[in-house]
Amino acid sequence: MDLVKAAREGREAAFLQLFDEHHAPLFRFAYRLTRSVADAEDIVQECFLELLRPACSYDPGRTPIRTYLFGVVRNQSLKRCRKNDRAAESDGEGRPGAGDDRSPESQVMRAELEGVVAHAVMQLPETQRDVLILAHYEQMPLAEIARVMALDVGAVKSRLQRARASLKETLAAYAPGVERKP
Amino acid sequence: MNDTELDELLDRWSAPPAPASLRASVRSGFAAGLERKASPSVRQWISAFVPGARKRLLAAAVLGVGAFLLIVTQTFPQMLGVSPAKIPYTVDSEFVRYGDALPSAIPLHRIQMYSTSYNLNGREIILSRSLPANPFGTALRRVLDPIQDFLSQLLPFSEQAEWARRAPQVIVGCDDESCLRLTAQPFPRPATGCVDGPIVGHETILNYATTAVQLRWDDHRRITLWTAPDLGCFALRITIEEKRPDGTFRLVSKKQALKVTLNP
Repeated sequence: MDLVKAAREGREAAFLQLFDEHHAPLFRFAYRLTRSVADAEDIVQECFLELLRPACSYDPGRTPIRTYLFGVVRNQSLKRCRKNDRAAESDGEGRPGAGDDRSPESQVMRAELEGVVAHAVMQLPETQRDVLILAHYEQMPLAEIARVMALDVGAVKSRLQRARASLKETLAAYAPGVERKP
Repeated sequence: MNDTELDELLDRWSAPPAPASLRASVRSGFAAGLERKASPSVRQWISAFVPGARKRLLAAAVLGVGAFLLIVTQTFPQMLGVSPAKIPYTVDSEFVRYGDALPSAIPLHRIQMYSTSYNLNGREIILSRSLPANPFGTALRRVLDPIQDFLSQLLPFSEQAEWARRAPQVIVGCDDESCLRLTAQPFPRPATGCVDGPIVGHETILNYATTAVQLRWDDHRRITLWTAPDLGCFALRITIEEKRPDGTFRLVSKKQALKVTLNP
């Protein structure tokens, strides 16, 4: 029996099975988009509860559940990020690291490489960033990314290429063979 | 930089695992969703019974009547029998519901309702209440609560006397998620004291001495009432706890007095 249908009929076991199957990649995706464990937790919770609402637009005949859930997480994350950005702007603060013109050398002294990579990815244009995260970190096929993001496959492919090219430039100083000052 | 080197760099950005509490939160959200389905809202009720074309007209009529009653009840409360002179004190309370995602000591909680009430012959009478998450419900109750109070005063004298003789009753919490209906619990009138039952403590709340009595609520829950004899046995705090499989109890809901006003 369809798990979503069973969950909507009130079967907790079916709902929890859905959760267990999908929550880990959804949480990772939400975390990478928001860079906040608390926000990611809220978003994933809301994403699963959305499935139970009568107004939920999910149609199992048209979209696989995984694709639908990733789409919901993406939309929720974008909404939350924009809201946070507005709040930060009104507080007179920018996004963390935005407009940072320190040299790569001084940055690496201040932050772990992980932070540098995360920052570089987050500086990509929104769609390039999301495509890259889904393709690289979630190993999602291009066709599925296209469905999540409501783009055609060609657009996904070109955005992925641009994102990677951009990151190669941004992160050139951190390539494994490049020596850096301590 | 080649593709492999970029992939290696990207792999340095790891994501933490999902917190263990996430599953419990989603699970309690699922249970809350079922509760909401089981008790359809006013809007769903209207949708089911009223043809679409008349909905706006009906909504306008309801709003008009509601606004009229609201103005009347707020401007001329005495018209509906709410006579402040008869009320010796009022207590402002908050009703908090706790989720089961975390231990009750670190509550995942939300305030369901604020109320102002007093005791009349041992029965708690709500004078007003507001539902922070439900402005429509707040407006509705502001109209309906005084009307209910007014209608109760229209009862013949003998029925009023019978009503007053009935067992003491306290409002312990909300009957459903919307909090439009309340759970009122009657207690046997004791020979002495406020509530019959094992005393589990004494505490001063808002400068009033209270006695805490703990009773079995049902098969898996217990209720504790902190009643103040100086306030006509008003319960200044009520907690409901649920038994876990391991035998310990977790806090489910709490009613807590915030302010006592004498001769309001």
